Amino acid sequence: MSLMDPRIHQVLDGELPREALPPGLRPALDRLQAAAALLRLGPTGRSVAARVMAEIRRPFPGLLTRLVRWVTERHAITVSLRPVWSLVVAAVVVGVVALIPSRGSEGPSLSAEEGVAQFVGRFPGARSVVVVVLEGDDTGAPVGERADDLDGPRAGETPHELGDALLSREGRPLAAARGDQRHHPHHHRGDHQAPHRAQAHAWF
Amino acid sequence: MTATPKIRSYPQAPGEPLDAEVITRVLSGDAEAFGILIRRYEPGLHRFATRMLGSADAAADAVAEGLVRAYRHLDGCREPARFRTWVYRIVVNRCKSHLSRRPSADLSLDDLPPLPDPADNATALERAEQLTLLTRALAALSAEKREAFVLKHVEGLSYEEMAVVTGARIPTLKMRVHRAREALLGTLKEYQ
Repeated sequence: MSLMDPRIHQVLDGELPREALPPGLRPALDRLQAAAALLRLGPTGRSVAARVMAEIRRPFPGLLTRLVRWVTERHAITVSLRPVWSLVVAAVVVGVVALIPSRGSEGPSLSAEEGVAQFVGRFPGARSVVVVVLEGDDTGAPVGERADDLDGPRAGETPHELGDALLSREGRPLAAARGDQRHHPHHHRGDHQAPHRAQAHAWF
Repeated sequence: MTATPKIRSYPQAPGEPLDAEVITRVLSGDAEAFGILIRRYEPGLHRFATRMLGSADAAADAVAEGLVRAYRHLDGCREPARFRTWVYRIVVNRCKSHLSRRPSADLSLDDLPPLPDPADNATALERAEQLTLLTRALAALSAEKREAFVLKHVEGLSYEEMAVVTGARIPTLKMRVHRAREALLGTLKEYQ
């Protein structure tokens, strides 16, 4: 709601002559005009002419010098955002982070003939656990015992004090068997239809 | 009422060179001629900056920075006859930059007008009190309203010139000036 009669604004904006204003409104007009006149009087600060002339007489540094100076000097960088935009920026950042592939969690690179069998065993109270990978038939000959040309770790032991362990080494599953299928064996026996299987032996 | 030009250049006294002539001299290598423009516009720029920033030191910095910047970019002044609005625009932006570095864009009250000397006469005392009151009232305005009011009523710019200087639209500027007047009048009434 306007606190002033619009005609006062019109007079101050030069759209109406002062005489067009009713006498009752003139004190407000006079008060504002007196205030403006008072603000026009001062201030009488020191002249900056000498400072400016001294500055412009100095040779103006080249673009490279200014760039180096700008890069090496401290600058306050302020980013002003409305709260709603900060939420949008946060959502974009989360989206970008989610899209970046996480290299740390990638498994071993596999050829077309290879696969990964993930093996999770829980053996509460076990002193030690050994995982072995079996050849395709059911002869029971552990690959880890007879083959030296296989990639990656084939067997491992849990620390003695751990009774419940995810069998892995350096962040990778311990049981990585060759094959063209993925196997998800559980506890002692894995997928019986698969040509390769993993077994875990626990000692209590 | 006589119509005034919407955008005016500095009123030259007889024998004084026009702004455009001075600018031509400066651009052709006579750097000292820039002093003419400084003497011509510094008082208004300094007054504007002081009213905007509330501090004589900050105002001096803003004006000096603005004038140096104007000199460096003088070849970018496309209409030398309108140097006045061009240089005001630069100093207005310097003031905004100074205000943005503060925690709040409010006017500092550290540099209020000096307290009147009791030895002064009654008129001077009253004037000093009113100036203090006005400075406080200006400080209570937002930076945008303060800028609009000072450009309009202290520097005497037309709305068209203010639009060039601030980059804001004329209806927006009118609204800011109107709101500033109402706020100032309210403050003045309170203290009476």
